[in-house]
Amino acid sequence: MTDPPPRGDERAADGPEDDDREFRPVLSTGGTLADAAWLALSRPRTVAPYLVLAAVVAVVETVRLRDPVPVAPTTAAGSVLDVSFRAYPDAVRSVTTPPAALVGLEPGWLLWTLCVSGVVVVATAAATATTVVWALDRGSVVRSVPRLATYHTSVLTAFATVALLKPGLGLFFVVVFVASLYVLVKLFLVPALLVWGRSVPAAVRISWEQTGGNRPSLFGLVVLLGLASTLLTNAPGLLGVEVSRRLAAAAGTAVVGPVHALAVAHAADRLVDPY
Amino acid sequence: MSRDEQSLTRRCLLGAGAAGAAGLAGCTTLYPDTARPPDERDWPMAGYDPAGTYHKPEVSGPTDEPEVVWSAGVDPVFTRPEPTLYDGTLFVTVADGTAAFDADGGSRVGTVGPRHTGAVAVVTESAYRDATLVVPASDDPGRRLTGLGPPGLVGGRRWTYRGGRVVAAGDRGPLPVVVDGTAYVPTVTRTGDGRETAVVAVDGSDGRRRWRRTMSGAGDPPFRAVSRPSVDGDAVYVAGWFGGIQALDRADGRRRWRRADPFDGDGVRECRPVAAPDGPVVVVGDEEIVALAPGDGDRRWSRTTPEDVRYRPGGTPVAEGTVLVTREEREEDRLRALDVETGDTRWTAAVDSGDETVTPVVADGTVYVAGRSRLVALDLDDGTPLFESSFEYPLGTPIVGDGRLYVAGFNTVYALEGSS
Repeated sequence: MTDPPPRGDERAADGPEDDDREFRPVLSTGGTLADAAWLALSRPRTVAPYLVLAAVVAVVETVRLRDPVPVAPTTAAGSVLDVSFRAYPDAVRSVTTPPAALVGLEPGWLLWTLCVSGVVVVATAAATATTVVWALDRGSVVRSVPRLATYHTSVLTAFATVALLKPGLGLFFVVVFVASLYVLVKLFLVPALLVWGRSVPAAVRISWEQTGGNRPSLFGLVVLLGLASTLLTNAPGLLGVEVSRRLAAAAGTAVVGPVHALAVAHAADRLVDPY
Repeated sequence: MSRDEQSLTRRCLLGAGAAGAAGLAGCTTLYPDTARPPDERDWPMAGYDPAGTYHKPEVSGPTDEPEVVWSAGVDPVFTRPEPTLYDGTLFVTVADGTAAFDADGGSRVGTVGPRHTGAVAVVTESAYRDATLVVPASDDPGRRLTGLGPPGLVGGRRWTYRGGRVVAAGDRGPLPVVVDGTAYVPTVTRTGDGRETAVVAVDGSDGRRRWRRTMSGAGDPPFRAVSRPSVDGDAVYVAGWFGGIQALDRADGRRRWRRADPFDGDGVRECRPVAAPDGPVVVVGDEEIVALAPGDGDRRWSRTTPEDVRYRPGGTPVAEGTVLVTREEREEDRLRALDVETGDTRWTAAVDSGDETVTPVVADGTVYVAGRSRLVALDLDDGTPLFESSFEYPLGTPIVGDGRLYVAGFNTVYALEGSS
């Protein structure tokens, strides 16, 4: 077969002499982040969807803090060690409802909580889709929002299930945690593929196949983006500045959100044959 | 049908039955029955009622020597707080959290974390269908008031109040008080120049703070050991070491009155106020017992102890116009029944009240006093002994169910029932 010509920082991972093997483009963590940041700077409007998302989430959290369903801070105040891995280019939250707190809720309050969470999921899907489409002028915002929302809901459900089962897992939780991290890395490209018209199963399959050889770099992205969101959320507290956690989280959404979405788009653009 | 096929069918039926049972259990966990408000069948918090009277007038306990209906071994927790009884489930604080027992048969339903040393209080008015258990968790730094779902297949911690560490006087576990879906607890937070003690009202549904009232003003000595608040009507009474006693508005925590030091004696180990029904607020110090008018805190009466005699700390039962206090009188402990309106002594009786965490309880005219190795029942009217039971190990404060006493001993929980 004829290999496609290398693009950008692509090179043959398995050796240039082996003509029977596909070229496997190799990404670097720093390079991908730099490209994502460059995309954001060169096309400033790609940041706008996440600014809107930050505002939506701030309003939602304000409402949630007033209803009788419990919410908990996403990170301990002043903590930098409590790093969350970013599985999806979603909003940085200052508070969230722990899955265990959903068990036993009155149906009305459960429905309310799920609906409000659904608003955030749809808003996140719209922000991701708009950012990716505006960055690479490819895909459809309207058509991809349901797919992104479905995928995001599946990820959230999987995490909630693991969190609910955590007390019963004991040391086996470490195995589940490592496996979850592996899956997160392998599915890093899925949001961009969904925006570009793939179905959820197809996007999962393609991402799983095409991330081979780039797992360390993608793992670095997952860690660095999570660390950045944690630092941004906690920076005011660490610096002794009195800022509401919701405002800090909104800043985290506005900065990390578009960079994450653009990093996904950039990586998918490099690794996946559009045809 | 061959034997193999029959066996297969039986296995399929058994499997389907097991799956169905698991599904039903899961449904029960995810969609539990609606929690009913606590009533006379329950003991929903330490002290029984929000005022902390330790008096259950509607239900009788054993009146003759009881038999052990069931007992269960537990890992002990040194504070031995009294159990909590709600809707047929007995909650006992144990080393690894809160153990739940079927109050009827004694089977252990499960254990729900986190670890703590206080008593469990039950919230039924919330956004949840089932009850929320309020405990002062000790797995976080400090003791954080925490709302838990009942033991089940899934669930656990619902909320954590992070506005301060829940405190308790002496070596007692904290004793949350719950009224109308709100939990009232004393807390302490670190400040730049020390510690600040406050009473907080926390929403039992989501752990939000409704109000917070600091107990010490500028320049006041630290309000170190704050005891279980007593909630009566629209007032919250709280007392503590050095801080005197204060009456707060239950709605917003506004201070109504404060008596800086209602005691003439020396330092007080624990002074747990109790608002007597239609009577004064009674506070027991080491060497003095004081009754204050609930409206303005004026002293109605007080009694001091002779030399070398002191009152035991802990809860102060108030029942049928009688307040019960235990005095350490040289070589023995004596339970004294005082008229709550005048402070006059009605009767006294020798008891073995054990360690300082044990409080007498009253049900339907009978006083139960647990001790180092004995359980004694007395007639509330005149102190006549009704029965005395011996146990191998020290007992904690008992609680009264429908005809039964439940008591957590050193390493065993007992359900006791009268033999007649």
